Amino acid sequence: MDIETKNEGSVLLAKPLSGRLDAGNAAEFKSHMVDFILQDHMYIAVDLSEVDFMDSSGLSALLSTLKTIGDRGRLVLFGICPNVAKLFSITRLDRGVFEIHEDRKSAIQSLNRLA
Amino acid sequence: MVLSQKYSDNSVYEKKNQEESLSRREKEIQSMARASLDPLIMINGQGVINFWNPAAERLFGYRENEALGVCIHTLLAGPEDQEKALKMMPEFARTGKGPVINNVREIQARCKNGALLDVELSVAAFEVNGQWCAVGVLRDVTERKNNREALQTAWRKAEEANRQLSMELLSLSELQQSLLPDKPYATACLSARGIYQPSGLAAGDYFDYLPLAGGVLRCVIADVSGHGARAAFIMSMVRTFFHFAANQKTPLSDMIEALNRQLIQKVGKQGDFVTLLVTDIYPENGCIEYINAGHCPGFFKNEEKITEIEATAPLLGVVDTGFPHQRLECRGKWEFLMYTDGFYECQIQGRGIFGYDSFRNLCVTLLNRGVFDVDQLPGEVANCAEGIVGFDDDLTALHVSGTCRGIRTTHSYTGDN
Repeated sequence: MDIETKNEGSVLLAKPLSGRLDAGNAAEFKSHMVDFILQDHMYIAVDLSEVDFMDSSGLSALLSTLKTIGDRGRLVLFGICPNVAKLFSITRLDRGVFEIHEDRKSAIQSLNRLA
Repeated sequence: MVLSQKYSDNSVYEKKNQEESLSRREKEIQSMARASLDPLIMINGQGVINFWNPAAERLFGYRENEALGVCIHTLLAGPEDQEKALKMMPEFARTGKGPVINNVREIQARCKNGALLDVELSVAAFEVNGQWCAVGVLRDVTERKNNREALQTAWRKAEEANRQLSMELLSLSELQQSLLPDKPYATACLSARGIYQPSGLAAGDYFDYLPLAGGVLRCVIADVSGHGARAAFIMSMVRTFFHFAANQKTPLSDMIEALNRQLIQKVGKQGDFVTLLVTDIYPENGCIEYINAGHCPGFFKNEEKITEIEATAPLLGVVDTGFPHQRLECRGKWEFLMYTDGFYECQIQGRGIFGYDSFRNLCVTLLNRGVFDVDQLPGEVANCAEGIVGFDDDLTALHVSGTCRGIRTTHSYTGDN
């Protein structure tokens, strides 16, 4: 899975370039995210605008990333399509677990306040 | 006379030129053959070597003067080939044909030091002055053969490992199937029936119904993140928890909170989680207590009205929080359909996923038909979608139905109900 990355100050923007984040590529995505964290990127905004389907494996990869960062930084999400938003809402991970933003600007501003 | 002399001079000159040209050409061909990095050997119709280049010398250890004039089969043939090759020579001398002619094959050849080499031999026949000869090009393929054998060994080992792994998974799958209810639950006023179709040999879906004291039925449908053996292992952990809690008469909320803590401690860091919808059904009291921990909404039909039973708490294994139960009142005939997300995440060819809204609409239609057959649910989804449906995920559904005679206010299972 290709992930487009860009540094915005102390924030790393990571955009998975795949229409699906599922059992087929979740492990690879997770591995990329761990690499970013090992490179000391603790403030990460994941742009999910290319992802129109996510299953429990994809969600698990995001949760694992969130837990790996822990208190050392923060992970926020933005660009979520309705299909994926439904998954977050069903699992209630959009309520106090994942910080979800409407757009990139809002996600970066939120992280910059903390970084 | 002068002209004749001149003609004769020219003829001699041309003949000399031709001879020089032929001699030069022969030297070129000799040099080329001697320079070849691959061993080149020429034999006559009797198998006697009449050309042996330095590469052949390097490969087999015989110097040119040791090889020339010797029968090639006596000099080089391996024990298996020598007798066979000698038998073929009369036929070759007569016709220029033989099993090795115009072929490339792998054979074993013996070196001067007695070692047997794996060589690739290509042989072509040609005729000189009515005598058949053959030229052979050889190449040491010991390394290639060793690599091929190593690859074949590795392939056989991989196949064996795959076979063993498949057997393990099959055993796991059989065990997993045996952990699920083997028959529907049915009493005069309550029935429950589930289906389970794993996407692979092992899966993370789970459903169950456990009769508790006082006619209470505890039902659960759960989905572990991911697929395969890992998900199946976590699923068996969840199942053990449910059965232990039922035996201990543990109230719903306490059981889910304890399970959540256990999952956070043991698997939460890796991102594993469990979603579930669990109910305690009190048929005599006309109520259902439930907790939906991040699971897809159940469909509760009562008095012709269908309600989506949405998540009341986050999924398990992530946040250490409370899981208070919610309450549904049942009047008359009621039905409760619980399922896993594999039903609406299935792929419709050329259209993406089936989607939650389409699945909900289908379930509403099916529940309103009057007789709901949970076994038919995967087929109903497949029939409903325009296009070929691919179920990539596990499919699990649990349908519970009952009839209530009245409503009592007693609730919350404590084992004394």
